Parts: sequence; C-alpha cells; structure tokens
Amino acid sequence: MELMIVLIGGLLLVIPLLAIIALVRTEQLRRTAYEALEDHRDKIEFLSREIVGLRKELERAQAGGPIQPATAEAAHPPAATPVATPERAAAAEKVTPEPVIPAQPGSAVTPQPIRETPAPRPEPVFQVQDVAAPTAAAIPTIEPPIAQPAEVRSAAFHPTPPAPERTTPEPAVPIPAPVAPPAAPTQPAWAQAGGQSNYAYARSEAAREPQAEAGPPRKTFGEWLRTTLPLEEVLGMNLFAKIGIILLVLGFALLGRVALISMGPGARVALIYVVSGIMLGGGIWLENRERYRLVGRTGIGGGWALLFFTTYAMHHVAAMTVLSSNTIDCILMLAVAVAMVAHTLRYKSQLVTGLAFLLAFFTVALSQDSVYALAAGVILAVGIVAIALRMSWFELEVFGIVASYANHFYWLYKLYPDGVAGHRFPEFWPSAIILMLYWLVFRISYVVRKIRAPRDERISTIAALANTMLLGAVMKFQSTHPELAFYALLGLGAAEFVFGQLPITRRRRPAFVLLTVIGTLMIFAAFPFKFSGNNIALFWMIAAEALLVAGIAQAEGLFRRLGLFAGFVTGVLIVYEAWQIVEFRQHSDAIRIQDGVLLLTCAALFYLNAHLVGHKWREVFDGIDGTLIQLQSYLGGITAFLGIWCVLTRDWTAIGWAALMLAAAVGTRHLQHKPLTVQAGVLAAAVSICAIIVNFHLDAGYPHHVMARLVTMPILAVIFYLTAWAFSGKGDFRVLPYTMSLWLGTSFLVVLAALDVAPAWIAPVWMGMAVALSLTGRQFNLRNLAFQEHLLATGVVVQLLFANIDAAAALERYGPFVCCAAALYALSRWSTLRDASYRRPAAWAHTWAATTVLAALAWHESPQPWLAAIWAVFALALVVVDRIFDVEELPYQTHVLAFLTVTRVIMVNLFTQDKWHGVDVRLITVGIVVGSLYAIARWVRMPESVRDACHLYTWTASGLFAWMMWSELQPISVAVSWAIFGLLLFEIGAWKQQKHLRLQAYVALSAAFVRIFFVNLTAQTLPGEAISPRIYTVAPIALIFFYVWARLQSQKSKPIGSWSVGDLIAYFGTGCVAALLYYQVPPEWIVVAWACLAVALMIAEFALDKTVFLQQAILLTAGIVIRGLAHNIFGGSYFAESGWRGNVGVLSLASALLFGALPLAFKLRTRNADRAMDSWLNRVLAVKRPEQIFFFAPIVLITVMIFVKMNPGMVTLSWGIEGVLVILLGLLVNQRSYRITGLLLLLLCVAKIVIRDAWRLSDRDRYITFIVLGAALTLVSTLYGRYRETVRRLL
Amino acid sequence: MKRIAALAVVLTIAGVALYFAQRGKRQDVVSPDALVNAAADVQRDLTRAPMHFTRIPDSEETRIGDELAQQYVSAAPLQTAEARAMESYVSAVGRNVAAHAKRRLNFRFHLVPNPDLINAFALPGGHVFVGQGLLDQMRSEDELAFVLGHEIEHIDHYHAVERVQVEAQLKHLDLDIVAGLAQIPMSLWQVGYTKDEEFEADREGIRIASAAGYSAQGAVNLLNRWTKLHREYVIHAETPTDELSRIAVEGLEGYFRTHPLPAERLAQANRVIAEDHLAVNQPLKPFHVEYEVTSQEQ
Repeated sequence: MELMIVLIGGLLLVIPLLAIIALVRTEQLRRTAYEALEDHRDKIEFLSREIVGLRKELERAQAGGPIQPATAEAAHPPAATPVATPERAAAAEKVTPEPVIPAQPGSAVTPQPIRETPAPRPEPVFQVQDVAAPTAAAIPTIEPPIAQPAEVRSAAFHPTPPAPERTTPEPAVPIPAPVAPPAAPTQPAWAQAGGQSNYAYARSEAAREPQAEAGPPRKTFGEWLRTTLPLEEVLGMNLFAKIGIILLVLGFALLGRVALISMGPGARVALIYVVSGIMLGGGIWLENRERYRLVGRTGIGGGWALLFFTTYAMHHVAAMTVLSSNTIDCILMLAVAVAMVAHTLRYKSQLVTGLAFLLAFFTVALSQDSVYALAAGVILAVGIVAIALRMSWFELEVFGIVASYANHFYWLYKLYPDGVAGHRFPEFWPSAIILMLYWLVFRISYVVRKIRAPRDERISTIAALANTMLLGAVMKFQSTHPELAFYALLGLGAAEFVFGQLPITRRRRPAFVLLTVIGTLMIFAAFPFKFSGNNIALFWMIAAEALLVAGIAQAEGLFRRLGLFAGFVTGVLIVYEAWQIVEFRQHSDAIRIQDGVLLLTCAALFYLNAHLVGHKWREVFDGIDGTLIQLQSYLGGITAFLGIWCVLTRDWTAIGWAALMLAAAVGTRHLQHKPLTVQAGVLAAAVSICAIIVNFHLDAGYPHHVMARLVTMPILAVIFYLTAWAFSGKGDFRVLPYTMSLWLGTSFLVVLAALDVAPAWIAPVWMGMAVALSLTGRQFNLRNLAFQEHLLATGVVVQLLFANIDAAAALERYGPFVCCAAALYALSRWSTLRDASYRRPAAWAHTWAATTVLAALAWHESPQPWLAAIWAVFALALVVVDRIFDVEELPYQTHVLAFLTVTRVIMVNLFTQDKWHGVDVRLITVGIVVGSLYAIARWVRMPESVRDACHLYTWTASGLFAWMMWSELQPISVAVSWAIFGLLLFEIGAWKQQKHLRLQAYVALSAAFVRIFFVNLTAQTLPGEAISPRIYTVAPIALIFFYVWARLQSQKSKPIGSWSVGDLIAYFGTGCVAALLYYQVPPEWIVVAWACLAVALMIAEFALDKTVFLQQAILLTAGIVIRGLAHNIFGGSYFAESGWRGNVGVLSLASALLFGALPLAFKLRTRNADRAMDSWLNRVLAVKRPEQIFFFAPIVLITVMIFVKMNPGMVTLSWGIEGVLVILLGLLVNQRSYRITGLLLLLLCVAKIVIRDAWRLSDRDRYITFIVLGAALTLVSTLYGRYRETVRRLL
Repeated sequence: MKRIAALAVVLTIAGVALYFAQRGKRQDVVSPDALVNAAADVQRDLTRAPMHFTRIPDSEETRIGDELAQQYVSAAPLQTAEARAMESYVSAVGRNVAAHAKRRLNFRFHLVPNPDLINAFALPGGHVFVGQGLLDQMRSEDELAFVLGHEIEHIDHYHAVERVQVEAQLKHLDLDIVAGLAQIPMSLWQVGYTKDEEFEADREGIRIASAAGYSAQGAVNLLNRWTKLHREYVIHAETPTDELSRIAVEGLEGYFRTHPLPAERLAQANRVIAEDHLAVNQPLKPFHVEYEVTSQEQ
C-alpha cells in the first residue's frame, strides 16, 4: 500500500514536470513555425511586388518607352552603390550625404556637385573641447538621400518622366570618392549589394525603409542617457585623470607644508622635487603615446605645478624654507614659470598651460605668508598675459584675471574674515598697488591685443569687464578709507575713459565703447560718494546734457546714448525726490509754489528734449535712443503731474490734470507722438480717480446739492468730450483714449444724475438719458454712444431690480417698472446703429430685460404659492403672443419662465399646506402649472432641429404628477401607483405614437422597481392580514412588468436605443419575483426557491422561445451557486443539522432541481445551436450551452458541500462516488465535459491523498553589495585609457 | 380586444392591490434596509469561507475575549452591592442556558451598570455583557434567558470571533498583543450583526433557552413588546423629500445597524416554536427572584 502511495506521489510529481517541459518545447516550436510563416509571407510579398514591377516594365517596353526600375529600390539605381568592400564601406561611412534634388519634369537639372570625401578624422584626443567629438561622430545619423548625378543627367538628357517622386526621404546612401561611373540602370539593386541575395537585400531595404519614413527610431531612456551624458567616457576617460592629478598635487603640497616629522626642509624639498620630476617626466613619456596622451598632459601640468610650488616654498613656506633670499627665490620662481610656459607652449595646448597656471595659483594661495608673497601672483599674471598675447589664448587670460584677484581676495579674507572695512592694516598701500598692477597689466593686455576673430573680441570683452569688476570688488573689500572712494572712482574712471580714447583703442570699436562706458559709469558713480540730493542731480544733469550735446555735435552715438541714459537716471532721481508731494497731499492742501515751478520747469526741459530735440534730430534717435528720448517725455509728464498737484488743490486738481490731459491730446493730434497719448490715458485715469475721491463728494447726496460738484463735474465732462474730439480721427493708437474719454464724460454725467436725482426716479432719468444717447448715436453714427446706451439700460434694470422693487409707495414701484419696461420694449429695435452687426442680440437683450423686470415685479407682488401659477400663465401668454406676432425671442423667454416655474413648484408649491376656500392650494397651483406645461408643450414654437425638445414639458408634467402621487399615497402604495401610471403612459404612448410618453412609462416602471427595495420588500404584515403586503404589492408590479414585456413583443416598433427595453422590463419582472423570494422565504431555503424560479424560467424559455428567460435562468443559477456556497455550505449552523431540512438536504434539493432542468437545457441547446447569438451578454452567459451551466452548478455545490460538510475521512470516498456517477452521466448523455469532470474529480481524490503528506518548502533570501573608493582615480583613468576601445564597444 | 381584456385584468389586479395597500392605516418605514441587509448578508456570506479556513483555536479566542472583557470591565466597574447581586443573578441564568450550547467554553456574564444601555453583546471566548437598561425592561426570567441565549449563540456560532478577525484585517491589528486589542471599542459589539446572524442567534437562542427549562413564551413576549415599541417610536417620513434624506442617512449609518425588524424576529420565533414544538404554556419565572432573595439575606 505504501509502495502504491509512493508511486502515485512520484507520478504526480513527474507529470507536472513533463508537462512544463512539453509546454516549453511546444512554445519553441510554435515560435519557430510563426517565424517561418512570416518569412514566407515576406517572400511572397516581395515576389508579388517584383512581378508587378516586371509587368510594368514589360508594358513600357512594349509601348516603346524607356525601361524604369521595377521596384522602389530600383528607382535609385545602384550607380553610387558600389559593391561593398570593407575599405569602401569604411570610406563611405565618412561621407556626408547631400539632400535629394528631385528632377522636375521638363526642366533641366544641374547635377549636384559631390562633396569630396573629407580627410580621415584624426584619432580623438581627450580634451575638454574634444569630448563630444567622438561621441557625436560615432552616432549614425540618417541623412537625406543624395542626388545621383548619373541619374539626374540621365533624366535631363532623356525627356522621359522622372522616377516616381518620393514623399519620404530615402535612407542615406553613401557615396564613395571618386564618384563611381554609372552602372546599368536595369541591373537590380540587390545584385550590387555585396553579393546579397535578392530576397535578403529586399528585406534589408524593407527593414530600413520604414525607419526612414518614421524618422529616427525612438530611443529608450537608457540609450538617450548613454548618448547625451556618456558618464563613463566623461568621467573615466577624462575627468578622473584631471581630478586625480589635482588631488595628488594638492596632497603633496599639504604634505610638504604641514608635517614630515623625521625630515628636514631640504629633504622635503628634495622629495617633492623628485615627485614633481617623476610626474613631469612620466607625463612627458606618456604624452608621446597617443593612448595615454590625456594622462600624460595632466601629469605634465601637475609636475610643473608641483615644481613651481616647491620653488616658491623654498623661501615662503616655513616648513620648507631652505632659501633666505627673497630675491633669489623670486628669480627661481620666475625661471620655473618661464620654463613652465616655454615647455607647455610646446604642446600648444591651452588646457595644459592653463592647468599649470591653475596649480601655480593654488599653491600660492595655500602658502601666503605676507603680502609680498602676492608678488608671485603678479609674476604669474605677467606670464599669463605674455602667453595670451602671443598665442591669442584669451580664455587663458580670463582665467588669469579671476585667479589673480581671487588669490588676492583670499589673502585679504584671511586677514579679516568679516571684511577689512574699518580696520586699517599696514599692508594697505602695497595691497592696493598690487591690485592696481593687476588691473594695469590686464588693461594694457586688453588694449594692445590683436583681434583675429569675433570670438576673440567677445572673450576680450569678458576679460575687460572682469578686470574692472573684480578690481572694484577686491578694493571694496579692503576699503579702509571711504573718503578716497570718490577720488579712486573718478581717477579710475578717467583712466578707463582715457584708455578708451587712445587711437589704438578707437580702431577697435568694441574696446572703445566698452572702456568709454566703463569710464563714464565710474565717473558718474563717483559723485554720490561726495555729494547728495539735488546736487547729484545737478552734476549728473550737466554731465548728461554735455554728453548729449557732444554726441549731437560730434555725431558720436555713444556719447548721445550715454547722455540720454544719464538724463534718464537724473530724471528718475528728480521724480524720486519730488514724490514726497504724494505723501504731503494726504494731509495738507497747502499750495507749494516753489516746488511746483521747479517741477514744471523740469517738465518743460524734459518735454523740450523729448519733443523738440527729438523731433528736430529724429533721424539720429532710433532704436534704443528713440526709447530713451521717449522716456524723457514720460519723465516730463510725471514732473508736470506733480507740479500741477503742487499748485492746484481740492476740486481744481482734477481740472488742472484734465487740462494737462487735453494738452497732451492736442499734442498727440499735432505731433503724432505716442508717449503723449499714453500720458493722456494715464492722466485720464488720474483725473477719474481724483474725481471719484474728491470732486464727486460722495458723502453729500440728494437733496443736498454741492456747488463744487455741480460746477466741476460738467467741466470735467466737457474736457473729456473735448479730449475725445482731439483723439478722434484715424490712428489706431488713439482709439483707446478716444473711447475712454467719451465714456468718462458720459460716466460723470450719469453719476451726477445718480447723486442729484430722487432715488425712486433715477431709473427713469437714466432711461431717458439712454434713449437720448441711443438716438444721438444713431443720428451722428457714434457707435460708442450706442454702447453707452446698452450699459445705461443695464444700469436701469439693475436699479429697478435692486432699488425700486423695495420702494415704499406703489407708484414708485409700478411707475418706474412699467415705464422702463415699455421703454425697453420700444427701444429694442432702435437701440443700435443701423449697420450694427449685433442688432439682433441687442433687440433680444432689451425684450429679455423687459420681461425680466415684469417677472420680477410679479415675483415681488404676488402671494408665494401663486407665483408659480402666474409665471406659468405668463409663459403661456408669451407663447400665444409669439404665435400671433412672431417675435422670435419670446419662446426662449417662455422656456426660462417655465423652468423658473417648475423650480418654484419643486421648491415651494409641493410643500405648501395652504387652503384656498377649502381647497388645497398645492393641488390648484400645481394643477395649473401641469396644465400650462402640457399646453406649452402643445403650442410652443421650437426650431425644427430640436422639435422633440418640447417633450421636456411633458416629462416635467409627468414628473410632477408622479411626485404628487409620492406625496399623497401611503409609502407601500407608491410603487404600485407608479407601476400603474407607467402602464397607462405606455398604453397612451403606444396609442398616440409618442415615443417620449413610452420613455416616461419606462422611467416610471423603473422607479417602481427601485421603490420596492425601499418599502415593499420590508413591509410588515399587519394583524389580520392573511397575505403579506410584500406579496400583494410586489406581485402585481411583476405582473405589470410581464404584461408590458409581452406588449413589447407584439409591437413592431423599433427598440429604443441599441438595447432592448423589453429585455430590461423582463429583468425587472423576474427581479421582482427573485427579490420577493429572497425576502419572503427563510434564508436557508432561498436557494431552493431560486432553483424553482430557475426551472420556471427554463420552462418559460422553452415555451415562449425568448432568450431573455434563459439568460435570467443562467444568472439565477449563478446566484444559487454563490449563495449556496457562501451561505448554505459555509454559513448556517456550524453544527450538523438533523433531518432533511438541514443544509445538506436544502442544497441537495436545490441541486436536484437544477439537475431536473438538464433535459430542458439539452433541448434548448439543440434549438439554439444554429442561431446567431452574438450579443456580449449571450456570449458571457454561454446561452448556447445551457446544459453546461445546469450541470456544473449543482456539481460545484455538491462537491464543495461534500468537502465542507462531510467527515474528512469520508470526503475522498464521497468525491469518488460522485466522480463515478458523473462519468456515468457523461457516458449516458454523451458529454465529454461531464466525463472530464468526473475524471478530474477522481484526480482530485488522488491529489488530496498526496496533500496529506505536504511538501514543505522554505524561502531563501540573498543580497549582494559593492563599494569603490576614490583614491585610485588616476589608476582607473589609466585603465580606461588602456582599454578604451573595449569600453566604447561596450557602451 | 384580447389586448384590452388583458390590460383590464392587469389594471384590475393592480387596482385591487393599490386599494388593499391604501386601505389600512399602515406605518411602513421607507428605508434602505432591504438593500443594506442584503449587502450586509452578501458581505457576511463572502467572509464565511475565509473564516472557515482561518478559524482561530478556541484557546486563542478565549485569550482574546478575556483581554477584551478585562478592558471593558475595568472601564465600567460595579460600584454597588445591588449591581453585583444583579450580575450574579444574570450569571446564574446565563450559566444555566450556556450549559446547552454546542461549544464547550467558559461562559461568563457581566453587567454594564448603565441604565441607558438597552442592549446586550457578546465577546469571543464566552463573555456576555448585559446593559442595565435592558434588564430594566425584563418582565420575566424567561425573557432574560432568551436574551442571554441569543448572545451565547453569537459566541457559539463564531459570530463574535469572526468579527474580531474581520476587524483585525480591516484595521491591520495584531491580535497577539494587548495594544492591538485595545483598539477594538466596545461600540463595535453593540451595533449588532448581520440580519442572517441575528436570525440565527434568535433561532438557536430560543432553542437553548427552552432546553434549559425556560418557556419560549418569554422570547415571544419580549419580541412582541419590541415590535410595538418599534411601531410607536420609529420616525415616519411625511414627504418624499424626508424619505430621500432618511434613505441617504440610513444608507450610510444603517449598514452597521442591521438588526432585522422586531416583527420579523417575532415571526421567526413563532415559526421555530411551532416547528420544534417548544413549550409555551408553562408559567413564566418571575424576574429578580434570586436577586430579591439574595438582598433579603444580606
């Protein structure tokens, strides 16, 4: 027995293994077969195309025309596609292809010259500027195809149609040099492709062609990162070498400086000399080998740096002092520097020389003992300048400037970390002299250099700027005599200015400009260090005017521009100083004549510059000069504004500003200067603000008249109207101020009316003004006045709705409302100009406004519950008027009113409890509304495209009716009443052929279905009731559903939408019954009840031949399975129930019922076998195979029930018996699936036996870790150099 | 004609139903109970299988119940001798009933001295808590026996321990530590179980109370009284809007309060009594007898 179990167990283990192996093998075979299939398809496709091409060629040959290539590939004859030998292929890779020039029919085409093959690119050198070169070159690019001269010539010589024009670029075709002679055009392209077969060539071309059409292949993120940021190349092959060397040098430098305990200074010097010698020698040796050139050059740089440092340290570093003479050490350092420069120049590498200098500066910075140590920096600076001038390495000089000043700053910083200012220090003058020496050296270098290319000039400009800026920064840092700043800046500025005026400088325009500007700026900047307030402005103004005059007199644009800049800055300063008048006016109205005169004088000066000088010599003020001269105009405006404010106060300030605005407008009219227009606009805004704050006197309204307001406001209005006149005429830029002035004039009058007219009659007065504006605008064709009328009419409506509506006297309510509504209706067709494009919307807006105010009046005046009825009747009246007079907007107003009515009904009327003469007001008002809605639905005029939209009214009426039922009936009756209502709507809809009524019926029926879940299914049986209310309310609803379903089956009308309403109704009916069973039957018996229902549905399906019942039966069976498993098997009592009613008995009964439906299922399968049941639901539910459902459902139930409910020892036996029985059944009905199920059940029995000896497997966890340290960077870099080709291949 | 006749028949039947539904002064409650109960039962059913296969041992269940009970008892200690006497009385009745439970657990009964607590609840492992407010409503010991039998059956049928398992899964509680159990509030047990579980506890509770010698009439009387109270105090919506708002609120809250209607419970009790031929004619035992005797002795 044990042997048998072991054998079975072993068999069970081997079978899955064999299955997996077989599965893998099958997958491989399938893939191979698929590839072969694809291959064959490609071959067939290619051959087909070739046959088509050959046929065309044959036809052309028969027609006597020239033979064209047969295929797309052949359209580019292989003249330039030589047989691919390795040498040619390599050469071809280096050819840059030219774009195609398609030959135009009938035009002579000049052959494109073929670019010569470039010289072989030298091996990439790993310098910073060369890093990207090999990478970029290594990336293959798809270039446009090259025009073939032979073909073009052929096309030009033979007036035959050109090759078919390609809309997409062809893949790049490399051209060897020299150009190969044209080959025979009829030779297939593949024949020349290096011996490739016809098919292979076609495949390769086909593979390339889509790529060319679709553009370059999309890169993955990893590929993009590798190409965009090749970290391995940048770091390992480049930066690591440099950083490594720098670290070594600094390390040795510190080593020497800090401590070597058992070594004297001489030994240290000797040791570091040896090390530097080794580095230098090794670098020279490695530099000769191309593979290690980068490492070698960095070694050379490092060696020289260390050598220089050691020489320097022999005197200046205490721990390494072996020389007592500073002079000798300086000579030695100079010698080393000269040697370093001389040696590095041999390599003509700015990088190497720069690296050497960098390290030299570093070493000096690390070992500064006194200010005289900085002399080494001067020497280095001189050296750098010398090299830069000789080799034109101006970038090197920029580096030298930065390094020199940084070195000096570092020395100062070490003296006083918080800055030297305020602390005198003895080395001040030596330090200042050294700084001046730096500046002088680099400035002379800048002046005397020869510029060979624009780039040199750009770099030189950076150097010049850096020289001055860094000098200023360091001087400021070490400043201990602030009083000298004025003289220093003035002197330095003068020096820069003089440098700029030298003949050698003036020959270089950029240098002249730069130094002149720097000098001027420094001179200007000097004054605030000695003067303040208006004195500065005075000096600046003088200087600015002098520069401006000089610029105009000498025709030197730079001087003019500097003068304009200076004038602008001076103006800003004046405005800044004068701005205090704003604050002053906050608390005082005192007149300030002196300030006013001064500001007005300045304004006149600025206006003179801007509008006289600028106008007279306008040809020289272009570009930024023109902008600057315009800015002076604005400055004039600001100063004039402030000046007027000084001399005019209270109500007259606005008048003064308005006058200035008018002057600006007039100036604009005559001079056409845009700044004046802008100023007028800004002044208009200022006048408006001032008028609102001051002139309106808003604190004093009707009936207290204010004389000043009555005087100044009309004056302002008149000035604005005059300004509008000044701005009138052509000119786009004047449209805005023109419009603004016109509007402001009217606004002032409107506000004046609002302030000085009795509140109740403001609206009629405004309406009168609106009428006047409208008629005036219409008369004189002033569009703006029409717009103003619209706005004023809007204001009238707002005034009516928010002010008049609450008036105490009825006359003040009804009078203005009726007058204004009448005026609006009357004005509706005459409110715009005759040619206005928006006449129709304007007319609509006026009638809408009239209707709105009347509706609002009704809302305000009528009792609450009756408002809805009044609105409904009003809406109906509008419909009637529209049908009589054909006023197009009235139907839309009807819709809105109806919407408001319905909203009102929903919000108010449905909940009102009032009585009117004993009758419920709710019934009366809602009845009126419902009746009106049905009438509106009948008569309202609708556009033809949305004719059916009128049914919204019937929908609403039906909804209100249903709501009334909901309100009036008992909760349990509502669903029944809705179902009846739905049934009636359905029948009426069917009778009247009204689709929407039927839709409403479906909604009502759906609502009834939903409703039962909230009341009916949980209704209690009252004492004395024989039948549960669940039954007598839900069952009739189900009956109605089935009746409607049956009616839908008999109707020939199309189903609504893509789904079948009938099916849905049938689902509702069955759902009612299933839910009733769920709530009415004891929980454990639900499965049996549902099984009965499923059988009944199967019978219905069999009898009526409607698939919907089969679907329901299947769904219900699924529900039985789920509930049976979850509730009856795993739920219920956990203890064995005795008697047939236990869960075993219940489930057995349910299973038996399902099995009982099997014969019907087989018959249905036979009947449905040839029918198309393509809907997704049918597919999901497998309605074509019901016998499977009705077999597997009980089988699952029984199988699981045995597993859970049976004694574990009996489970296997029970499953065995079940399996045997199932196999027998399968044999009986000839169902393979049944038999397989039985077999699986038996197999399950075997598996269960094996599971008892469960195999226990344990999980294993692992992890791997790696850390690389940075001290070996140089070694890494060397290795990268050694194996760089291999690395690149791997990249 | 045939169609009109069919329509007439359908309308007649529906009209009659409407008439019957409208005839009486019904007090039906509009609520989402039907859906909520169904959803709760579905949820319960879906957890049955996992619970079946992940059943924790009785010893573990007892440990959890003991720790929970310790927390709750210490939160509401009995202050008076009267309360302690009442608890011993409840324990005596409960032990008598629990002797007929299927599972062999150490059932213990506790009094919650809160007159506002008209409720009883069971913890895993055999702890039953009864509120003072509920005891105040008792008219006979048979009624108390039914209530205790109901709670015992919640334990007996693993309802309580399954709730702990579900709660632990939902809140990611570690049942092995006291801190994890401390996060289970007492209110969790007071909200009741699913409709199905409540029916089950009612059914089995009546049976074991009867087996313990109590009259099933006690259960009938108690449920009858609750049915009347429910009819009197339930809030009936006056308008459709009220209905909708009540449905919305109860849909949110009611999921956790899924006790079946008292009338349904009464109907089931009557059915069980009829099917099992339980005794209803024997005289009801007076409530508090033992307490009164005990207090007189003291």
